[in-house]
Amino acid sequence: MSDNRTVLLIKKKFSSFWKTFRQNKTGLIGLGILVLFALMAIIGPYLISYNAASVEEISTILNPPDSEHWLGTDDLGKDVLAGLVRGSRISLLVGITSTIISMLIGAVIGISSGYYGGTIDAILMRLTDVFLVIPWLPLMLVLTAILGANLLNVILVIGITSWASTARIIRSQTLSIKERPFIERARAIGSSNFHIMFSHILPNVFPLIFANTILVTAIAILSETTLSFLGMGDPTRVSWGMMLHFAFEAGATIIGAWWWIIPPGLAVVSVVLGFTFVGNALDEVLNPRLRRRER
Amino acid sequence: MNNRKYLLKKFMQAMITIFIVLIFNYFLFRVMPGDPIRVLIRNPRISVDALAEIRAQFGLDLPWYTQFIYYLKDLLHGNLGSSFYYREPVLNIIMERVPATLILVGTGTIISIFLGIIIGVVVAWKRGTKIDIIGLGICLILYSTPAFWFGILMVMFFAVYLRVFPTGLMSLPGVAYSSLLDQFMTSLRHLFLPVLTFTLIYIGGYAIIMRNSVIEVLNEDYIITARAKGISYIQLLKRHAVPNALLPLVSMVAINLGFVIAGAIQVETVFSWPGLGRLMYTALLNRDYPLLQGLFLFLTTCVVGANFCADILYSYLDPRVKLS
Amino acid sequence: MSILEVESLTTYYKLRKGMVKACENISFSLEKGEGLGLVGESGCGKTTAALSLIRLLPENGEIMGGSININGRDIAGYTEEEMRQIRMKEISIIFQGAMNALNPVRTVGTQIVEAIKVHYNHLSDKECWERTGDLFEKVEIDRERVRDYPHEFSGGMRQRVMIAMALSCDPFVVIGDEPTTGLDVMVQAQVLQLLEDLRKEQGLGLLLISHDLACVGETCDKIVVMYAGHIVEYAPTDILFKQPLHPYTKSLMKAIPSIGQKRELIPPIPGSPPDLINPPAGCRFFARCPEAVAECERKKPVLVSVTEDHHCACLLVDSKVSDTSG
Repeated sequence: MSDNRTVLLIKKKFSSFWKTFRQNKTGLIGLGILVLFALMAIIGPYLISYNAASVEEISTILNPPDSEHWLGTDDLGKDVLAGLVRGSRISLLVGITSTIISMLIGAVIGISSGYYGGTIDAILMRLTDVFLVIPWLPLMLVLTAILGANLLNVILVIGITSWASTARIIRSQTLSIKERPFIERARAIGSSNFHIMFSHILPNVFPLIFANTILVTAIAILSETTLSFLGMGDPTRVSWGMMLHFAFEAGATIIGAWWWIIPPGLAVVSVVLGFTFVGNALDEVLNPRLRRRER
Repeated sequence: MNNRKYLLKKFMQAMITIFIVLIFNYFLFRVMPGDPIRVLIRNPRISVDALAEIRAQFGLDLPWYTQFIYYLKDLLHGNLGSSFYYREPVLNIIMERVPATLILVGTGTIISIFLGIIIGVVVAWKRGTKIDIIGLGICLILYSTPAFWFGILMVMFFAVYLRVFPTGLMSLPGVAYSSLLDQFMTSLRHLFLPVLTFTLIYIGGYAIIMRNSVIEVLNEDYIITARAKGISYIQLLKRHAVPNALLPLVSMVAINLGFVIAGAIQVETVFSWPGLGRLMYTALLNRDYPLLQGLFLFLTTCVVGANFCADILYSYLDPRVKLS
Repeated sequence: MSILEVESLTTYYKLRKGMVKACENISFSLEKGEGLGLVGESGCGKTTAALSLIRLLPENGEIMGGSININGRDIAGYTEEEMRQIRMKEISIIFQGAMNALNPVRTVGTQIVEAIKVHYNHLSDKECWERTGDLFEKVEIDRERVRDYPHEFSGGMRQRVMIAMALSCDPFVVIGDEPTTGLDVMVQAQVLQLLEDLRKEQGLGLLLISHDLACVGETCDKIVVMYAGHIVEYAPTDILFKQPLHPYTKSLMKAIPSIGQKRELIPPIPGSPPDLINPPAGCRFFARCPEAVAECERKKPVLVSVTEDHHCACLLVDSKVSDTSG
């Protein structure tokens, strides 16, 4: 297939996909939320000054919102809004990169398991079951505690603990794709297993797990927030979860510093909700069986 | 396949899972960067002799496979090692904290499952209407909310702003109670906010599962058959739709235990509730590795055990299982 | 008086794209002890007609007009509450028992007792189970098997359970909605024979719905042929088989294999039924009809009496009728 035709095909597919997606109200709301936060993460830090290192006068510590600090200040006199904008970068970055890792692991394990079958399948699926059954938060906490709490480790830990359900889905899709004639043809002309898995099966599986990917991102962001809150985040790269950790440890709850507590939490809820809305909408568009069932 | 064979298979699977977790758990704490003893002792000025003595005492001078065998042997005797921070056997510390967690998680889970089922059924029944859309929206928001943050909001509103409930702990330290009733009422007041938080956080998930399950069941052919008998809609829900929709919930409750434990860790941390979750948080902050390892093993075993129980229950509830 | 009399029944489904005109102007009658076959390809509206009769249409389906008289009372406008009183007691339905027509996690006995309890609430539990056992014997199943689960029965046996359930409250009219589809030929014949015996024995009115003209022909007294939501021909079985008038009926006839003929050789009717949201203005069979003339595309045929009990809706037949009479 020539490149030109591929581009045309993708364009056509995308426009028909967008037509259906557009009719899904919650999906559009979710997309709107995500675009807003993406803009905040990308250009926000350039618009708001964040006096991170400078020590302010005592009078600016723990101030409620006013015209100068729209969301008030924290116990070091830093602007909460600026922290929120900066935090969006870290939270989204961790959520998206750890999802990519989780998808890669899930794809490799799911495709190999479904494609090879037999003993390999049995072993890999046993392993998947183990990962499904181990309580995920203790596992993440223990892993981060051992590896050390920094940004890279947090991303790795979330990635390697959340691939199991994806692997399951990919495996079952691989099993059905494996039986299609073009796989038979590829095998007949002597393509290697590796080639078949990554050039034929993966592209066919991907659209099916796209919705799942978005939903996993929602969970990854929640995981990062929780890890950070429990003190297992990177203290130098302050995400929303880390903001909440500092606020909690500084006793913001008891002082009643709601402006320090509510914004980061609301941001997490909105983003997670945004990803969930978009994920569910994609699932309905790409997997119409559900739509028909609900009629 | 008959029932006994099915259960045996499930039991073997559970044992294999626990064994894999054991291996994993053992090596995890031995691959951590740096000398474990140095991490444990945290005293940079310790003498070389003293270090060697401690190494021998912990058996760290032996080859890894011998250590692993010793580890398994110790486990069989209920010896999970000793906490560095508390200087007590890990198992004792864990067991001391189990009741507090059971009270919180047990009450919260039972209430949230019960209410979740009711909300799910009502929402499914009214699907497509405003009630459905609003109900589903609230459920999704609750589902997307971090448990600890919700807990903090609860504390700020009820305990700090309204001052109607205590901010945390299970009871007031060093207070003499005038009567048993007084003590009971105080405990209840301390229990209220954590349980409320825990319940509200998990209602959403259970309600959504129940809603989808009921909708799926309502589209099954046997529902039309039942309607063709002339039974009322309430009877239809009571005798066919709800019982059949509950089946997937049984396995979901077991799978959700991972989430329940995550919730317990967060809620107990926020409310300083003296249970396993709070213990995990303090163990993390103190980098108390033997305690962390013990806790991780304990929690995982509980979840695997609960999953096995769910399998038994499921095979009892659904006669088709024995066939497949 | 007929026990079931359907008069110009019209049922539509609401979809976002528009109304699906699934069933229009359906009229027929059924006497005590009589068997009536309703035949047509899948999607021709026969199941819609059946579900309309017992008022179990999906939420988006609605009866737009016409009457359904059971023992002289029109139930087309009955409320759900009123319908509940007569389902199973006066009119019951046998669904295709193959897949999930029975609740998989309850014993078949419980499910039949449930039906009996609704309509005979003076009976004790023991009497209900006794009655269920009797019903099992009537449909030739060992009465001990009332305590078994649906998955423990074979397809044919499950169909018998469905029949036992449909008969549990002594209805006047029983609708069989493809009751033998998916069963192998021998079992199919057994189930049909059982239905015919029970009908004659108990004086039931049986409305048998099938896509298979041959199987309906063997058991029914009268046959209604439907195409794309309309009745195209309605006649006693022997007359219909001797002298089919509508081109669609003729094509269905051709599709019946005669003895010795290989099944593969049956010529299927080419083309597919029309879109029922925007049905064609003229005859709905026009596009596939081998005998069509230009007029068929514009003019809508109506059901006319060719002889006293032979009715047909075709312009060609209509013109012949007017020719001979005029």
